[in-house]
Amino acid sequence: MKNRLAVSLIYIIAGLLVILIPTVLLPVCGASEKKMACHYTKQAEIGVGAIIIFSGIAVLLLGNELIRAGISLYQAAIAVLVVLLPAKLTGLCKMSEMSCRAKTYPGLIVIGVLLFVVSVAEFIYLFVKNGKDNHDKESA
Amino acid sequence: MIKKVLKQLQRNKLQSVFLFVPVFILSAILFGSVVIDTGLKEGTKNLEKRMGADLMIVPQGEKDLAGSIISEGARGTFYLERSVYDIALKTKGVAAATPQFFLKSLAADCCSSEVEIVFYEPKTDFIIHPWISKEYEKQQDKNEVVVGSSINEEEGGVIKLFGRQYKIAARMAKTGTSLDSSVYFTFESMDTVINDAINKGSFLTKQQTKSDIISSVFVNVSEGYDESEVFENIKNNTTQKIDVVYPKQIEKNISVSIDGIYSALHMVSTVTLVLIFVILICVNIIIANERKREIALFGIVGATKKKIINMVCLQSLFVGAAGGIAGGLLGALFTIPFGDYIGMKLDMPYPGPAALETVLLLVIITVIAAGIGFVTSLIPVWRLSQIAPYTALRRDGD
Repeated sequence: MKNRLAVSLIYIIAGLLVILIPTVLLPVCGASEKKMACHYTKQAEIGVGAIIIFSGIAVLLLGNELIRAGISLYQAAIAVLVVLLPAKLTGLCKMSEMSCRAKTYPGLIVIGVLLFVVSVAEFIYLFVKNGKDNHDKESA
Repeated sequence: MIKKVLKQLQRNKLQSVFLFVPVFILSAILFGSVVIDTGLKEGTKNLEKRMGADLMIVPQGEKDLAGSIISEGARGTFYLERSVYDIALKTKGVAAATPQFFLKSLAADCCSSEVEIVFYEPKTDFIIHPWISKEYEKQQDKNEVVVGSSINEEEGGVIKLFGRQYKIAARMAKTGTSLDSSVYFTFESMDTVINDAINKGSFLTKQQTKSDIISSVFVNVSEGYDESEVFENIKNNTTQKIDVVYPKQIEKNISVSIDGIYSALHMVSTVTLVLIFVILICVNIIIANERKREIALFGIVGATKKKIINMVCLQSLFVGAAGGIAGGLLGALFTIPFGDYIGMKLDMPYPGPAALETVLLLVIITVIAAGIGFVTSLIPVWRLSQIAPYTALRRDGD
């Protein structure tokens, strides 16, 4: 239960940060008449952040370890998406001194990498634990 | 032996965590401060390269702006007649002179935000070339450009500006300033670029469309001549109202202000190292006391003192190394992506450390953390191994 609560909390906080970084904490460049690439990255990250929060709530509600391991595995893939969106898919403004490149992108890299590490660690932990539990049951 | 050590670590999870956490946090701080320090040093090195002129002659009243262009890569437009350059060339005491023309920051096809368009003369240039990261073989022609490090190129090494494609002849080294988003043309391309920009709807003043103007003249003074005297000679020979900036002097001033930041970073690194050492000594003493009976039992079952010391010290070394790697990676995760932001906040050129330097730093910090882990566990465990098993096994108060 302790693990479930901690991981679920981490996922929910990470999801919130993915939404708040491009909008409030380290916002992308200001909107002008011509919408720049970073505007669409912000929109996409809001959606991705919502999915991460939803997964966090699912981890909290679901007791089955294999299902939670599965959620963590796709959470790792979403963490990659958090970084890929500004880096390749929707992109950012091209000048290094623009707010989206100097602040938002690094912030998303930090959250994406940390979320990826936690998700993979959780997946391995649950997968190994499940294997051990099954082995113990069979031995008994 | 290693297997046994890993098993012991797994068995004493809580103790391992107590050792790991301080090393992890302090290694992250240490790595961060060393990375910023290295990045700033690299920035100063680049600054020296691009301040290779004794004098920068600019129109009267533009001295401050010209100074910011040199030190912070600020953008500005001011103009002189080209005759100032011709006069400078003929003035006694001038060893070399080269003109530059700062057109303006303009929106271009290549980039989603504005780029600074600069014209220079490759034949006489001694400002741009030392700053090019990869030297090119032939002379830059009118269909080629030299670009700042953050200008993205299209496939085939070309860049599209105002509807026309230019081949990228060379790329500048990163400076960590807005100069990284400049494009450098030769004076030969001037008319074409200005016409293309106007046709694409860019607004240019009447002065900017003249073909016989420049923004500044960079001058190197011959040996034995006084810089201010040479400037006075140029000033007396021209009818233009001119001012001067001394780039090398600016570089000296920046170096002085960077010294303050270096001192602060060195202090953070030193305090962090001392803290790692002191905290690990304390934690290792506590852990050794906690494991008094366990170590005594090892002795009873036949383990030699040397073996016991080796095993406990290796445990501390492993945890130190793990904390060093993890902390270093965390430090890298925060300081490297935020490099441009750090430079902007410090108002200093900050290109950040190179990839190889970063890996080397990570290895060094891991070795230091592992070494401190090993050394700090040596004294308490050696002291403990000297206690007779009976005394160690006896509970307090027995």
